[in-house]
Amino acid sequence: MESCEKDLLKHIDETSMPMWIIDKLKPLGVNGFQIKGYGSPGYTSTESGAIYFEMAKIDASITTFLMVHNAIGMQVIDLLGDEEQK
Amino acid sequence: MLPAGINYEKFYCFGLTEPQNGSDASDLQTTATKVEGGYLLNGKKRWIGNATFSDVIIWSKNPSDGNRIQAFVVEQGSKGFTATKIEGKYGLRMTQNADIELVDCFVPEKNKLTKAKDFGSGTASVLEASRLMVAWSATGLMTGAYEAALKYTLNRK
Repeated sequence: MESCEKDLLKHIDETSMPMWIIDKLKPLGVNGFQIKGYGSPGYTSTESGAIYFEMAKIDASITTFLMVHNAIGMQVIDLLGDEEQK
Repeated sequence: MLPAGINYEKFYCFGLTEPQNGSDASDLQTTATKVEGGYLLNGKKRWIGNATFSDVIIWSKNPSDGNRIQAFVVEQGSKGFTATKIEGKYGLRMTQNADIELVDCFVPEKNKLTKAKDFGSGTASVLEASRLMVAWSATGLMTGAYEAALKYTLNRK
């Protein structure tokens, strides 16, 4: 698999968020993780953890970006929101 | 909110930690005052990851409901909401952590998460479910460091 590790160096220096990473993440189809439905893959806890583990081996910032959006972002809405809010 | 989030059209993040309340998350100082059609939020948050470009789930005391800690989704760009990137970080340098200030920030009733009744059933249940993933990430980070060091030492003369 193609790695984007080198392209991140500039952003690490600048402390900027590489929004182009979204186009790299999209084809992986992981976004949504444990959420059921709404276009999410509906992973188990272990499957989700294994993906974050593999990502963090390359870069912990990008892992944190995705983890925030999922584990303490969308998953909060999934857990605590009503159907209309979801 | 979920379909847009899963398609990466919108981003969501978690506003719990405050400048004066880190570990004691059950005693937040941010308040959500009931007004017609919604709530006015006032307070400060610190270290909020992704907050410069996401809608923020703000955890706040609700004085109209026994000061219980409840959750309000504040949309990015809302009037009275500012998120300022924290500079000078040594770690997770690409992660955008922010200081948030809420000054009479109006949140419509529909953006109050209906099942976040109080700290125990809302905030704590989310933390229990999510912190496990942080441990996976930390273990991955260490494994990556080990593998990189191993590769380097085995390749150099």
